Amino acid sequence: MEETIYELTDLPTEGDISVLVFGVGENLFAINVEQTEGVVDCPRVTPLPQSPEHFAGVSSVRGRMTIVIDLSYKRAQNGKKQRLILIRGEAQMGLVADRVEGVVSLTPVSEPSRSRKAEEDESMNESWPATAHFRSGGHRVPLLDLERLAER
Amino acid sequence: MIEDKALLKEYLSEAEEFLDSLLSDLDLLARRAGAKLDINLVNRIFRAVHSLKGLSGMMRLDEVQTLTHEFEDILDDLRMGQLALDRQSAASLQEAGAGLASLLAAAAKGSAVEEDYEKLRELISSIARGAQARARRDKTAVEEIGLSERERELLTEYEQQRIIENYNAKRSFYSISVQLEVARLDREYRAMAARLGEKGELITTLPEKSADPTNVAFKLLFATDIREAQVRQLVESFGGRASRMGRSGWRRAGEALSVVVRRPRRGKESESKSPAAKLPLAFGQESLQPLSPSVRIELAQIDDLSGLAHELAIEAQKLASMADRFLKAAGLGPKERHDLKFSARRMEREFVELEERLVELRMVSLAQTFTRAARVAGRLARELGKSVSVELVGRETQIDKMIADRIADPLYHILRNAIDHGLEFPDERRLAGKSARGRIKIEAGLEGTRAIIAISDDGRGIDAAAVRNRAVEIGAFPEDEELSDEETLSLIFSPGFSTVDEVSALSGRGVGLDAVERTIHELGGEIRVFSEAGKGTRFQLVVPTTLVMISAFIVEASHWRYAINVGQIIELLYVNPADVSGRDGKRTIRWRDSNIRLVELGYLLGTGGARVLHSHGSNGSNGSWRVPVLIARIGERQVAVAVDEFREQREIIVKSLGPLSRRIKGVTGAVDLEGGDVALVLDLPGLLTRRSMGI
Repeated sequence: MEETIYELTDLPTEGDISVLVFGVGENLFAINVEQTEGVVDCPRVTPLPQSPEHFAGVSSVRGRMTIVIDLSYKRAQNGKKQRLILIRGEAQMGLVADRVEGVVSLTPVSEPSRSRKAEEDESMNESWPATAHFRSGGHRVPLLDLERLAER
Repeated sequence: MIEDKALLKEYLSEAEEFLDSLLSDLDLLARRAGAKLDINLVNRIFRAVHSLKGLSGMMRLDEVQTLTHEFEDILDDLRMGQLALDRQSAASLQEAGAGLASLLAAAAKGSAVEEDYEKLRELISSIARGAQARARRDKTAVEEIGLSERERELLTEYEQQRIIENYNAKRSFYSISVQLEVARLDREYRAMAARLGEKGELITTLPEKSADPTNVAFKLLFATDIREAQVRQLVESFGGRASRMGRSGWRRAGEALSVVVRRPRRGKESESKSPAAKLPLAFGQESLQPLSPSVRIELAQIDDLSGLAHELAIEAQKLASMADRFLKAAGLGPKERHDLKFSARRMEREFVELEERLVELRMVSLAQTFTRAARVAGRLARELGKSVSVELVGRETQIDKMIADRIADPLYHILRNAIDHGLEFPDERRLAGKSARGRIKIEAGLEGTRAIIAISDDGRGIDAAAVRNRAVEIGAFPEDEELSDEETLSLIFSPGFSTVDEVSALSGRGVGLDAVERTIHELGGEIRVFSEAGKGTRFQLVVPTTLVMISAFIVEASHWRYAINVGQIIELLYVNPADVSGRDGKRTIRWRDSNIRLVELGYLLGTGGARVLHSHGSNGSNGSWRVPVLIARIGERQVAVAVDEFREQREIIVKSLGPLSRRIKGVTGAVDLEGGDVALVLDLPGLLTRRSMGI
């Protein structure tokens, strides 16, 4: 799949997108702001048996059962103060975040420079489905593809 | 006319239920017209008409409402004994019921014309007039004849009618007393009746007391044109005694009455006055077409079907899984493999769809709840001397009927508060630069599997500082804690909370916002409040759109609670660890003379295994300790499942895990527990078959 390359921009223009950047362990991830419903303190998560590894469990959030997805593959870490990014729509899904960095604007660029491609590392965040990547603070940040993530 | 199609459908569906009851009971009433009036039946008919009146009023079908009110008046007179019921009036009531059914549907669809209303109105009035006249006539005629009160009570409607007929024919009435031997009773009575029948009409035979136990005494009411001497002679031949009935002036009175009781079928003029004859074609030929294409089904029946569909879906999943294994083992060709796999998957999908469609059957629109709410709001505002306009948005939003019913009270409570405490009086509003008429908006919409219902007003808003002070005062909140505005406002849901010194009768006491919040939480929903001083308040209820309620047993394993459908449990017992045979993964217990497999729930769920059987502290020690074990039904076999603790049995609302649930095995949903915890609702057959238990 051909992916769009984005760069951070301080002067958003038409065609730019806003993404929410969050951290899980050492890694950074991003999600299109339009796909989010809100961020809440992560409630107690009940572990789910016989489910994909990244399904940390289920929590009751704002009146509905929400499947909690942990990109660090760690099962329910109750007791640790974490945030839960709620995904908009019918998926009933939330992403666990150790920290929420904030919202940034991205602008699409024509093609990645060779030097940047060479900098790509093989960190954990490369294993998650992404619609695009961008660089922030020396990290290559995937813009998560939620549809494929749910099916993973 | 009801323009909202969803509302019209619901109205017709609800009206049809009452009409079915009404028409069926009117039919019964007509069939029993000659017998003693069944007051319970009349009351039931009254209730159906009353419900139709309420429904019509709610839908603003004013003309229909007025007619049902007049219908009620007739029924009220009937049950109060002020109107007599005979076959003719009962038949006319049937016609009126049928007419009402036709008119109601036509009015709702906007196809009724003034003539239809007028005809039904005239029919109802005619019944009232006719019944009153007949009541007077019967009473007068029977009194003129001189029957005792007890005897009058024993007369059937038909016999009363015969008295009237003979009375109008100017025949004489005779009371004939006779005593017949029991041994010859049948033969002699028939002979006497036959002789009397040749000379006149034997209207009735009433029992009398007899001093001689070997005889049976009767009093016969006989009407005839023959002379009195002939009657006496005829009766004496059977050992009886005849006496002429009635007062001297009764013929004159009878002549006067004959005008009132003139039978309508005898002449053209009379026919034109018959209530039934005045029915429009639609009334006279009541259509057999139902008002609504809907059928009403008990929710419990849908739940049963849902349960069955769910079982089938699980079986289909198992079959699909078996098909995969079979394909690998059987060495089939590509086409056979494709066909079998395709069929298995298709069946699996279709059963899942069946389940979903059954859940949809429980869905109703919020139209009725919202319309009632708007009506209540208008009435409450009038009572308080306030003026309000209510805007309804998203009435077509569909949610589970049980949820729609459960949220009605919270909705009305919030509405009452908004009108009573939120909206200012017109003068106060003008001073604040607002329109004199307050505005309330009730809106609903869907967001995935949740419905968002909001009630907003443009009133004075909630004083956050007062809320905070009050919360500190009642101990719901420590004085030095920092809170956001939303958190502060949410304190109004604390038990015993009220910032109004004099709580009005309107808003009532005892059911506060804490009860509102509790109800919403019980539904697995949430309630939020937003307010701005001087600008208004908005309550937002978030509730699931669908629910499935089951009776479940709650158990605890590895510190987590789980719910298990009681239908999957055969027995609960405590097992002595010494009675468990075998090793980890191959344990068995003796149950009802068989060895059955024992597994630990923690092991099944991957949250911890071999804990229960090695633990020694949960409910005793030193040999007295027993393992809580439930015997589960897995097809035709049984499996013992060891848990840490039995908790309780309760009715639970199973909430869906959403579209991702298809990736989770052995769990059918989840339930909200106290303290924000969640218990998974386990599918034991699904879990146990997947875990290589050799089952």
